[in-house]
Formats: sequence, C-alpha cells, structure tokens
Amino acid sequence: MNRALWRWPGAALLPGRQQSDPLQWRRLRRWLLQGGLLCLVLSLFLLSLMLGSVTIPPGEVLRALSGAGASENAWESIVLLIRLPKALTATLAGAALGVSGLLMQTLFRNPLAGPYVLGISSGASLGVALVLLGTGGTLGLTLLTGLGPGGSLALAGAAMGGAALVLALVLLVARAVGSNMTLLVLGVMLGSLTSALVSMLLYFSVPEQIQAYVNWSFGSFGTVSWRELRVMAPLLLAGLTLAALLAKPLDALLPGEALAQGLGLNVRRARLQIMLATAVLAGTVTAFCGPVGFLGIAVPHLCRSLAGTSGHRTLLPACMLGGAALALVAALVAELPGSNLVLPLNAVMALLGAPVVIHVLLRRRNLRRVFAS
Amino acid sequence: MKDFSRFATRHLAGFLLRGVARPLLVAALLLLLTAPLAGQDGNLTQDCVENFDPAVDYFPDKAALVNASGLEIEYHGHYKLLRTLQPWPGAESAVEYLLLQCGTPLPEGHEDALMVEVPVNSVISLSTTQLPNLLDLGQLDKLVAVDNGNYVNTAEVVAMLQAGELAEVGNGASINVERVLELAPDLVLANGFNPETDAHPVLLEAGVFTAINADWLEPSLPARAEWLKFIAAFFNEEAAAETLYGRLMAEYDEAAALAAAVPEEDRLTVLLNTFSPYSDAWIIPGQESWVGQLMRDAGVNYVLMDEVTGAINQPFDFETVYEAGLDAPVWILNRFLMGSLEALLADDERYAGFAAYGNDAVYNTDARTNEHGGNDYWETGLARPHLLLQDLVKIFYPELLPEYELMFHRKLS
Repeated sequence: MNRALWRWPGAALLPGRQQSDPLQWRRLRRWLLQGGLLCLVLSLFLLSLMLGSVTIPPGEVLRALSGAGASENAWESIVLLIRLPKALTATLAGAALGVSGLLMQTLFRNPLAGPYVLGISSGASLGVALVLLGTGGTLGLTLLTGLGPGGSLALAGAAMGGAALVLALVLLVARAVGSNMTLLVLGVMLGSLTSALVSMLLYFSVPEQIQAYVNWSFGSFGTVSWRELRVMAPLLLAGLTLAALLAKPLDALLPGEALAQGLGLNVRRARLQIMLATAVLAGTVTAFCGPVGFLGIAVPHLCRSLAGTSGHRTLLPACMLGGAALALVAALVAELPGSNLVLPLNAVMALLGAPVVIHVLLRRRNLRRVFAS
Repeated sequence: MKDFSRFATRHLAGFLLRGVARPLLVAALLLLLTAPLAGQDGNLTQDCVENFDPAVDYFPDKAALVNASGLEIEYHGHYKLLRTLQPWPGAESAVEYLLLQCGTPLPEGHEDALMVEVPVNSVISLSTTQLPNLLDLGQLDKLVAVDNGNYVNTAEVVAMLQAGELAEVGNGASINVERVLELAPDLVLANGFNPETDAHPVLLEAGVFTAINADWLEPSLPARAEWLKFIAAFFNEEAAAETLYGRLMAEYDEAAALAAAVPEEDRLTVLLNTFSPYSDAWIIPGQESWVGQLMRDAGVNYVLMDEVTGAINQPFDFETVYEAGLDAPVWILNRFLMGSLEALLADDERYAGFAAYGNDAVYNTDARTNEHGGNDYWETGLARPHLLLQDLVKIFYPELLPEYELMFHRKLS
C-alpha cells in the first residue's frame, strides 16, 4: 500500500513541505485550497445570516430566507433587509479588494502595493469630503449640496467620481511614461494631494460634518441596503470578470516588464486593463463601504502562502474567496454576536488580519522569491 | 411790615432754594455716587474701587450654585476664587482663577495665581455656546472676537459680525495667537478638551488670561446652563445671573412637572437618533447623560434605555435597534441637515420600517441651522434648556402645551 495515499489530504496545504510527487501534489493542493476556501466562504456566509445581536433561532432564519415567513415580523425584516444585504456586501467587497490587491502587487511587483496605491481611495475620499463637508459653503463649494447630503447613492456617486478623476489622471500619465515605478510614486503623490484637500475641508467644517466623514472613513458593510446593492453588485461582478480574464498577462508580468515584452505581451495594454479592473473594483467598494483598508494588501500574501504558487490561475480565484472569507469574518466579529455593541470595521480587520499576515510571512519568507527583480 | 414780611418770605424762599437746596442736592448726589465705597448696595459692574477699605465686602451679590457640580466660587471681600474642577476630560486637578476687584490690592499668598481684574472690559469667546450667556448678561458690547463667525446663530452677534465689529481668531490648535495678542482682551473664554492641542496653554504662555469653561462636562442640562454664573463672575453680574437662572429653572421645572403628571400607562417609549452618519453604529444615549435626563424629564422612556443605565452613550447594532424600535410611536433624530422623510429614506430605505415613519412622527433637531451649518440647538438651546424641554413635551404630549410652538425641532414631511 502506498503510504502517501494515506496521508491526510490537508497536509498538502501545510506550507513548506516537500511532497514525493511534486506535480500531482501541487495540483491536488490547489484543488483542495479552492474547495476549502469555497466551503469556508459558504459556511461563513450562512453563519453571518444566523448570528447577530438579535438572537433568532436558525429554523426561523431559514423560514425567512425561504419566503415562508418567520414567526415574528421583525425577524423576517432583520434577516432579509439587514443580514442578507450585509453578508452579500461583505462577500463581494472582500472578493473585490482581495483581487485588486493582487493585481496591484503583481503590476508593481511590490509587496506593499494594495488596491489604493493608484490614489483611488484618496480620490473617492475627496469626492465624499466634497459632499459631506462642502455643504458648509465656506469654500464656496455649495454646488454639490444640491445632491442632498443624506442621499447615500449620491454619496457613492461622488466617491466614484473622485476615484474616476484620479484614475483618469494616472492613466493619462501611464500612457506617457514607461515605468511602473513612476506610476507608483505618482499614485502616492496624488493621494497626498487629495488628502491635503480633504484636510482643508475638514478644517472648515462643523463637528457634525467631521463626524460624518470620520464615520465614513471607518468603513462599513452594514450601511449598504438592497437599493445600493443593486448598483454595487453588477459593477463588482463586472470588475471581477475582467480581472479573471487577466490571468495570462499577469503571469507574464511576474518576471518583470522587459521579460514580459520579450514573451510577446503588449505591456501597455495589459497595464491599462489591470488598472481599469482595479479601479472599478476598489472604486466601487470605497464608494459604498468606505475606504476598507488592509484586506487588499493582506489577502494576496495569505493566498500566495497557502497556494504555494504565484500563478494567477490559482491566485485569482483564491484571492476572491480568501478576501470574501476575511471580510465575512471581520463583519461578524465587528458585530460581536450576542452583544449589542458594534465595532469599527477597519479596526477589526487590521486587528484580526495583521497577526495572521505577520505569522505567515515569518514562516514562509517567500516575499523575496516572488518579488525578486 | 407787611411788605417786609412778604419780602423776607420771598427772599428767604429764594435763599433756601438757591443757597441751601442746591448744595444739599449736590451733596446727596455725591453721597449716592460714592455709596459703594462705603456701603454695599451691589457689585461694581462698571467701575473700579478708588479707596480700598479691607473691611468692605465688595461683592454683596454672590452666586449660589445649585446644580453645577464642576464649578466652585468662593468670595473673599475684594476677590473671588473661581475653580473649574475638571477643566478637560481626564484632567488630574482643578484650575483656580483669582478674580480681583479692580482698584484693590492683590491678596497675599496669591502671587502666582492666574489672576484677572474684574469687571473685565473685553472678552473673546472661543465657543458659540457662551454667546447667549453674554447676551443675557448684557455684556455683548465687551465681546471683541469669536472663534469662527460662520457657526454663530445668536442674532445680535451675527449683526456685530456683519458690521465688522468682531474679529475671528479660530480655536484649538489653529488659533491665531498673534491676532489675539493684538486684540489684547482682558479675558478669553475657552473650552478644554486636551491640553496638548487646546489653545489655552498657548494663550496663557503668551500672557493672555484664559479661563476654561467646562459646562459641557456637566451631566445634565440644568447643571450645564448654570455655568452662566461662571461667566457672570467675570463681569460682577452675579445678581443678574441669579435672576436669569432662577427664571429659566422655574420654567424648566414647570414643564417637567407637567410631563411628570402623565400617568405611567400613557407614557410613550420613543426612538432616539439614527445610524450615526455613514457608519454601522446607532448611538443610544445613556440614561444619566444629558439627553437621557432630558428625555426622562420630558415624560418619556426611550428605546433600549434599559441597556444604557450610566451616563455613557453606547453604539448599538442596527438589528438590535430595529427590533426594539419598530413600534415606537415617535422618533427624534439628531441628524445634521436631514430635512425630509424623502432624505431620510435616501440615506437608508430600511428606516421606512419604523412605525414612527408611518405615523408621520419623525422630528429632527436642526430646525434652526444657519447657512453655514451652525445649529442653534447647540447654542441657544443649551443655554436655555427650558426651551428644549418645552419642545419635547409639546412633541410627546401636545395637549399639555397647547399654545407652545416648536423652536429647535422640526417635523419631517
């Protein structure tokens, strides 16, 4: 009897172990990874429908979901109007951020890159700040008050506008300059510029406006209701589809632009496609959930370690699932099921995720290999 | 003889009128003017002491604190010691101010005190909440600057700003110290939040007398409004402050008594606040917080109040509030510039599930917001809490105050 067959399949997932038949094991490991992640996401999704501050028996949750109607009216509304959209938002947003982080890390060949390096979230912040803070009219920015500061769709629109503006600038420059590093610096500079403008706006605002802006910057999945989800979901699905089609050019970019060019890749076009996908994904998430940080940087590292590869045919789906799983966990923890409290999402995400990432990095020490130039 | 007597009478009368009455009148007037020096009819609200007499009590009008817990005033003949017990959250010790009647000598042993001569003649207010107090005490003519004119609602101050009579000096870390020094006010009234970033340490170092008004740390509105007497002490206007505060509290207590008479079974349980803007959290004020106390004084319970028994406000998850607040008949929002039911739904469509929404009984606190976003609720409202209470009693039990018209709250439609 071949002893290797009796090995616990999960062992394949353990990092850093050499297997007797590398090719076969690697393939199995990848399937196990994707399957495991999918199961994880599904069970976390169900769990986040079951758990919440209000205790609802699981049977009642299922009755509400099936349309049979829960025994209490409030329960049905809580499951269908509060928990379901929140879980869907977390899943989609997590997937989007995980993938866009991966895209940026590969494009810039920089482990510190995340969905926001292009200045997208700063652009979105500026758009939001103009709506939330510009209403004071102190700087003569009253033109935006017509949107109605309360309208959440208007707010999302402004965030998208800001993100698009910054992206257009970056793309324009990307056409002119050859180097990705220049783009990276440019993104950082644009980010500083926009945050300076936001500081200016904050300075001239009343406390209520500042509070609203600060709250927005904490990030949240719970403020997205069905009305917003109807706009957000198609955009994110489109972005994810675009990203899924980019596995080949991404793989080609891994060893560096010069080599990619040598392999026959149209680097400029690939770069534009990658940036566009990232912009749609990160811009949409920021618009509806606020600048949800951390996840975008952390998830690609986690997935790279778990998958034991930097190939994008594996990493793209893994980052989608991993991002969704992490987002669902963070949303669950932020809510502290059973208690009435609720914690800021961004803080929870970093508190949960940072130790995990540090642990994985210390064990793997593979950054140098992936990002070696 | 007859002629002589007539002559004598007339001249005597004339003599008496001109020669005696006039000097007498002058003497009487002189006596009246100098009376405060010798006697103690009231505090000196305009002048200084010319001939100091250590035996005289120069502050016959004294403030007597009844509700404020963060303030102490001690009277010592020709000087007062004013103490802000907790100048900022987490402060380790009180700050003490020596208010010296002008024209009198500095008492021994107080050479290092933070000292200002009273009555002060010029003042800078770094918070709009103090402007109604200055107005009520009749001291607006001594106001030389505010922190930021955009957020002022008090009409008299707005008029002064428009006439260019007031400077704007900023606040906190962004205070324009040079401008303050140029204005050289006798007194700067500031709030303390964190001495690392506040303006007061910088101003004190620059030699500008800055007093910390900690009214906002008081746990109730009546206590908070009593800090009127803190401001009055700098102008020797204790008598006016006592009258004003007494009148205000009489009205407050009257409205509270009306609400307290509502029988237990008729008491409403109302919904407070909304999602705090663009976050997951819904803040419910603690029972002992000033909002909590105001609501209870207005004769209502509020949703989830049993979960927050202390003074601290607590964030709640939406589904908790949703379940608990679904049937509340009235809903009091505290949302910046939320003027219609339509805007409320645009913010979150799920708000429509609340019974108060269906009842058309949603009220916001922003009825008096100026074009720059300054809300008078936080200015006039806090200085005159009886109006806030009457507003709420009118909303909850309109039959108790049939004539009253809402001032700070507006009904969303």
